[in-house]
Amino acid sequence: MRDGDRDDLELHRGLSAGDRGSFDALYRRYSSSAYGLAYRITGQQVLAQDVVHEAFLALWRAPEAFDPARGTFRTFFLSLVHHRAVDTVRREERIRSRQQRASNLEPVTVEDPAEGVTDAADLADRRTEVRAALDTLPPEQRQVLEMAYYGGKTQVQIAEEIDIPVGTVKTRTLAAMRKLRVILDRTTTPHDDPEVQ
Amino acid sequence: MTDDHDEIEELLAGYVLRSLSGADAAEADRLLSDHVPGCTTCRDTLDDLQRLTADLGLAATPVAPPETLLPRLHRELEPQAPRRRPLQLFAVAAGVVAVVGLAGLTVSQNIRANNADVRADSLANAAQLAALPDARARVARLCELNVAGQVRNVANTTVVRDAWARGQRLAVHGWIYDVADGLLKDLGLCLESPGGAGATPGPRGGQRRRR
Repeated sequence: MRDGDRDDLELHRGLSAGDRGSFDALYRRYSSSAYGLAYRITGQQVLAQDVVHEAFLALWRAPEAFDPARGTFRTFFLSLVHHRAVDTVRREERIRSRQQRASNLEPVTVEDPAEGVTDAADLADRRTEVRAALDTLPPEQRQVLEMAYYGGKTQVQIAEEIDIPVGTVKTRTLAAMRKLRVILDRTTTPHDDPEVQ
Repeated sequence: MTDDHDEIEELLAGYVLRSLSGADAAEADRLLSDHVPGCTTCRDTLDDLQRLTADLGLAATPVAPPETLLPRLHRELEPQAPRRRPLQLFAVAAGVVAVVGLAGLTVSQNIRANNADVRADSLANAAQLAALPDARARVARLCELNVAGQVRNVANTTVVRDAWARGQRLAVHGWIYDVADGLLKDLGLCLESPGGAGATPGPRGGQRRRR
């Protein structure tokens, strides 16, 4: 387990006891990662703000949703942000498709927020490792993985969009995930902490 | 029905990416409730996949959220609901010293109208009040006595008595705040059972809490 993960556990304990200082510290640590992810998925700053807002509020209101025995706080919180962002995109798509049918609106243009944030060192390191691992994937595997994870699309939608069978989307997704696991587990192993298992 | 572990892993991969729909989503739900909880292999696979997808989230370019977001959150961070503690009920009254005459009258009428115990104690209370140095102190004390009466009233309701009768842990507290400083003060007269601790606050007793 990395030092950052251990600090997260401490901060989560504080937050669970109602300590706002711990909440602020977790916000400072994760808000940029969370906002960057929510923005990449939703493509709109207003929606991304709502996602991050809801995620931190959910964390404050139900801190017990994070179970340290099941993984790190980082995994828990970024999963929470991802779920909410994907749900938001699907909800927006339903609204937009209704509006488009009604008035033939142009699709919403993607905004361009300022980028480039100095991040906690451990998060920045992991980011570099994950990006390097993604770069090793064959393009057709990376494509389905990114369409699913960052695009918030279902496997059926992906199959339609790039015109391949759903079964192929599934096998490519699994192949991509397995390959990433092998590469990234190698870089996580020294940090596994038997005490938390 | 899927029981082959490669097929299960394929479904779980789609599940953690939130990209399943229709029959696949239903099958994943079935596996997650029927099979995965009892299968060490699948539980490990699921944990690994979840860690992996969260790492994918980290790969997105970080972007600082607008500075207005944290203040907006702060406004909504209500104190957390008490966890694993008994249900709390509060009787709270505001002491409005600015309208001394009216407040004193209203409060004493409430005491007479609502609370037999306070009426019975009224001589003792009157003596205690008379001993206080000024009108402001007397009004403040009257308000506290009113809260004490309300605590007893709440404790006497059917709802609360029934809850205690079936052994539910429930406490009635008496808190007060003065609009002059806005500080919540615990009058220290918590009732946790029908014959629980007394509901008469000590003179200016209890602790102040910042709201």
